[in-house]
Amino acid sequence: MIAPAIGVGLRAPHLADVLASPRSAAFFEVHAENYMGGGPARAALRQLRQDAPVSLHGVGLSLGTDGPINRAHLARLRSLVDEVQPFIVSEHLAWSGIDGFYLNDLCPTPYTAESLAVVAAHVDETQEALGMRVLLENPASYISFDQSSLDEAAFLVQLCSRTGCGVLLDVNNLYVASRNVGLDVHAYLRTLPPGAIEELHLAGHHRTDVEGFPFFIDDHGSAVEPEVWDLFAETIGAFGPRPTLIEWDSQIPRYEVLLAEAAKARRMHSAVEGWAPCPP
Amino acid sequence: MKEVQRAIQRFVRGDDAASAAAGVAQLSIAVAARLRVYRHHFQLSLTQALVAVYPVVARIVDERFFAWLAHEFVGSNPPRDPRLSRYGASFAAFIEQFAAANHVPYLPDVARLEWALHESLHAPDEALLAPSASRLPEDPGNLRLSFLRSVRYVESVWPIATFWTWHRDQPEVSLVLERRPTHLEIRRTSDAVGFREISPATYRLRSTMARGGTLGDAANAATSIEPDFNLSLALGELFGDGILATTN
Repeated sequence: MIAPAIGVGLRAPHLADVLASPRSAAFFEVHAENYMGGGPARAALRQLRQDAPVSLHGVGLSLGTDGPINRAHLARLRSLVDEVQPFIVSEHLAWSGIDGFYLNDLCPTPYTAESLAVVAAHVDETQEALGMRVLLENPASYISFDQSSLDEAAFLVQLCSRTGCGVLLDVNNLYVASRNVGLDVHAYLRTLPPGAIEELHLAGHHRTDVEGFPFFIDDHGSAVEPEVWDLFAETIGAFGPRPTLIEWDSQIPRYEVLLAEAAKARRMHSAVEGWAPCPP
Repeated sequence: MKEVQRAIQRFVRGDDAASAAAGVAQLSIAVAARLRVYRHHFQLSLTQALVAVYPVVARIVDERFFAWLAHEFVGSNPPRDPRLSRYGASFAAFIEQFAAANHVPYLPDVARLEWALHESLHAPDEALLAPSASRLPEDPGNLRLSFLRSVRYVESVWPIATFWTWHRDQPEVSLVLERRPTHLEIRRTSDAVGFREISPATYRLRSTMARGGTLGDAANAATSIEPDFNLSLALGELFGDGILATTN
C-alpha cells in the first residue's frame, strides 16, 4: 500500500514559497481562524487550493467549554469549509475560555462523565453544522485534574464512539503531556482504536526546568525532537502510517527546513512494513 | 466543570492561584508554576498580537514601555472573539486614558490609523457596486450607500500620516510637534492596504455616509465646513472611486 501523505502547516512567511511550488508538500494545513476574513490572505488560500489539498485546523471553537458553543464562529467555519472543501477538518479536545472570553490558548479539561457529555454535545453540533466528520486533537497539557475519572485516551475512545468523530493524534503533544502530567504513552497508544486515528501532527517543543524538574513547553519553535520521532515510529508501527503534518509556529525557519522534516517523516512512513513511499 | 474553568480563567487573567489550584492534581512541580505557563502564554501571545497590529505605535514608544502598555491592556481587555485578528480594537481608547503615554499626544490617533489599516486588510471580500447602478434616486437627500468594509476613515488634529510614515521608516526620528488636521481614507487593493489624505469636506461627506448617514446629512456636514463644496463633482468621484459595495 502507498503510505499516506506528509503535509506542512502553512505559515505567512512561507506563503510565497508555497504558492511558487504548491507540489512541494502533499497537503497544506491552515488555521481556519486566519482565513475567516477576506483580502490577500483569503485570495492566497483560494489560489493554493486550486493546486493542492488543504486541511483546516480550527483553534477557536473551544469545544471543551462548559457553556454554549459560539454559533457565529461555527457559521464562519462552515462558510470557510464550503469554500475550501478541505479533506480534513480538525479542532481540539480543549477549552479556550468561558463566559464569552477567549484566552488564546488550549487548556485541558477534567475527564469526567460531565465533561464527556459537554464535549460530545459540542462535537455533535459541529459535525452537524459542517456536514462532515471532525477530528479532535489531544492537548499538550501542563496540568491534570484530581476529579478526572477517565484517562485521556479512554475519554477520546468514548468521545469517538458517542459522536463518530476521529482523533488527530499530535505526537508531540502526547510526549509533552506524558512528561508534564505523567501520561503513559504506551498505554495511551494501546487504548486508542486504530480506526479512530486519521491524522498525526509533529512539532518541536522546548524543555525547561521548573523547581529543579524538567518541564516541556509545546512552543512549535524548533525541529521535532528525537524522543518525539521515536514515539512517531511507535505510533505508525502500531496503527500504520496516517496523513502526517509538520508544524512550526515560532522562530519559523526557511521553508526548506520544514520540507526536510517532512522528508524524514516520509522515510519513516515507508519504513513501516507493507507500506511503499508516498510521493511528496 | 464551569467553576474549574472560571477559576483557571481568573488566574490566567491575573488573580491569585488559590481557587484555580483547588482541583488541579499535585505533581512534582507545584500547581501554581504549572498554571503560570497558561498565564504567561496569554500575556505573551496577546502582546505579540498587539505588536503585529500596532507596529508603529510599538516603535514610537520603546520596547519596554510597549510591553508595559500591552500588559495592562491585556489584563483588563481579554479577547471576546476567538479570532486573534479581532483583538485590540479598543487599544487606541486605552492608550488615550493611560496617563504615562500622555507625553506622546498623537499616539492614540496613530493607533486608530493602524487599527483601521488592520481592519481593512482583514475585511470580507465584497462585490463592487456597478457604475450603472450609481444613479441618484428622485429623493437624493435620503440616499444611503453601502461602503466596502475595507474602506475606513480616520481623522486627527495631528499630521498622523506623516508621523506614521516617518516612524515606520526610521528607528530614531525627531518630530516637530505641530498640530495639522489630517483626514485619511484607508483602502485595500488586491494585495495591500494603504491610505491617502482627502480634503476635510470630502472626509465629512464620505465618512458620514460610510457610517450609514443619508446623503442629505453628509452634504450638510461637508458644506458646513466648506460652503463652496462642489457636491455634484464629489458625488461623481464617490461613485467612480471603487469604494461602494452592492447592498445585498
